[in-house]
Amino acid sequence: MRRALLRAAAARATCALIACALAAPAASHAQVAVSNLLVAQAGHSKLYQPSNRTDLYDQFEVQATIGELRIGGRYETDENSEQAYTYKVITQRWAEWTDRGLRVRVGNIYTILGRGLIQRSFEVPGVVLDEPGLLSRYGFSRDLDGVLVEGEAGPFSTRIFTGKPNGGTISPGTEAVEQPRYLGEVAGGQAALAPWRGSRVGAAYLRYTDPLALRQDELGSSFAEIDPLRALGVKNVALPLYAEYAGLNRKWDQWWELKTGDKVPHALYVGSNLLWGPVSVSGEWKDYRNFRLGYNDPPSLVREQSFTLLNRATHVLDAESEHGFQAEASYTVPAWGSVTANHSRSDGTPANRARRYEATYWELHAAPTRWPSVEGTAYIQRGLDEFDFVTNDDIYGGSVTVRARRDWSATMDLARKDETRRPAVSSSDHYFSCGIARAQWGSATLVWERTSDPRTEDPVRDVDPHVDPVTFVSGVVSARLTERHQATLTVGKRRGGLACTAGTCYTVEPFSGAELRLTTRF
Amino acid sequence: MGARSPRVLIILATLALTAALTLGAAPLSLERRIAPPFSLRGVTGETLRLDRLLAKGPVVLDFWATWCHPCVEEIPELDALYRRYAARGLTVVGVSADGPRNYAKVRPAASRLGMTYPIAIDEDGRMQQLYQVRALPTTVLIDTSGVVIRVREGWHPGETRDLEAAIAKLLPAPEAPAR
Repeated sequence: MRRALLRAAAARATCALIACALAAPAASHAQVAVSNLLVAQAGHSKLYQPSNRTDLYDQFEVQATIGELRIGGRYETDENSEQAYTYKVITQRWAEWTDRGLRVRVGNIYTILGRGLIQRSFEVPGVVLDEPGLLSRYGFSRDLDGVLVEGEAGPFSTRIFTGKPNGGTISPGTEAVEQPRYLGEVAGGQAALAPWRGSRVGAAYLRYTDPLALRQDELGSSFAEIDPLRALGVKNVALPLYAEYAGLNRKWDQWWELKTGDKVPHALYVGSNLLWGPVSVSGEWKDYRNFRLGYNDPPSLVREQSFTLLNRATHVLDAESEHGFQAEASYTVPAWGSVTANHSRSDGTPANRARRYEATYWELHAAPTRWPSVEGTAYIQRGLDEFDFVTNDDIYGGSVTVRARRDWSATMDLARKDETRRPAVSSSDHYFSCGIARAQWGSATLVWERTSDPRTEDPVRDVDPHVDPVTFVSGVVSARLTERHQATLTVGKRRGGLACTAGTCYTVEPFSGAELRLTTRF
Repeated sequence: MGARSPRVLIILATLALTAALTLGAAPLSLERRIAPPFSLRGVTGETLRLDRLLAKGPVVLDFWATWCHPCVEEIPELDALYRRYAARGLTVVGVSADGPRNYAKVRPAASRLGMTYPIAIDEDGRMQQLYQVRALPTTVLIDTSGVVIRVREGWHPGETRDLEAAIAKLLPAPEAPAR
């Protein structure tokens, strides 16, 4: 108790000091940049009692630069009407020094090894998560609390780090009843060589200490990146290739063996592009076994979609047991637009061997230069996701934007999804939105959704095939209030479920009421 | 972490206070202050260093992602600006906020969108933190002295005109055609 009070007092004192620092006027060498994100909610959430509730989340960020030294911090608070799992905490503080090819950072760090097969710490700026089942909101950050040193000299580059990983799934307000957000210890590094432009070879190593499982793991990976056509002097065609292989707990003489199979923990990723005039192709292949580590983020090889129904219907990678591929091809028709086709497939192995995710997506994008005021996209996706018991999933829709009088534009989105799930649940989703926008001012959008998916009303009743359709209507007004203030007000009923931003998927809680989001750059 | 290390926090805050008192504080905004320096590796292997780019002329940083609709809509207009003013020193850098899930899509997307300006991937999110990016797209205009002139979050059709007007003020007058 006394310790908690001391912590709170220390946090308040720190904030006061930072505030003083910000307010201090003087000469002109130090630079301070401050920004704030506030999200306020008032409304109704049927998952909690009492269901009428308010929530106020705030994220205050400050950075100061003094020559080559930068220091920064983030202060987060969440208050709600239930006074449950509220907090006022400095969630990040860091100092960084850079000089030519060297960078040293102490505190909260973000870094990646290779393409994230064995380690990736990152955040998704602007995303505020609801911790499922609990009344606490927090900014998504999967950082390390430790030290990072990076160096670069000519074709050589290296980075080493050590720190405590934050899984990004626990709110600062709930760690007292769950587990500490920063748990365990990772230490590792990477060395890479770029023998010529566009190529790179390297190796990475990581050691993870898990205090809960009382064990230590060693991970190693090696990667290579090359464009063979470029190396041969071909200029009109590009064929960049990337391959990375990672293993777990090998003996020294085994690190060099490329072992695959169900019994060998490993991650293998291969990706390539072919870029030739109007044709662009990407192909990727993955094979992950026992590689869901909690501090890594291997590529999922499932297309990230931004249209609402497609975005919600995505497949979330289970690196514990998946292999598969993704291929995408686009053809650009000069002065008209483009055609894109994508096919993704993931198979579970070995425990999930019978499960498969598969989706084929077609998109036609029209942006005729002859009629520059009109732009449109039509798409269709057919697939299945046996990991989620979905045996058939058809999604189709389109979007049109019309520009008028230089500053005005109107956008309309339409989509429909038909889904069949085991044992015998069929459901349909309909989505419609229309909005009007004016440059420099902002936009106003009306969103209408209707679904007969049983999981929408109650996730535990997902086997009940008879659910009356539910309608969600909301209005969104987004405005640039001043040069430094951007506000978005959403009023209405929001559907819960899966959402993905910047390659990361998370659960959105259903909510009806009003939400104000205010971004300020002081 | 949280307030787990109060001493460290207090030391950092005291440092910030001392720095501000002794060295002085500029406006508390990214705008009108010196742009944080960076060195990025472009997707085709080139090195993009802010100081070298500024030696040629003003720089526009466009934070975008392959899955971001407004970003993708904005890019053809940005590219048109780049092609129009590159000869007078303008550089546009597309900083992709795509993660490993979408790395393989960045170059095909750039090819499909006809992007002629250099692109780099913000692999560890460092650039987004340096420039306090909270939403995509975010466009940052930096003048040749390294000062951030303008930061814009989000995009609606027609907004590139304001950016063009701001760029035009920073560029030298076009050379008169030789007689």
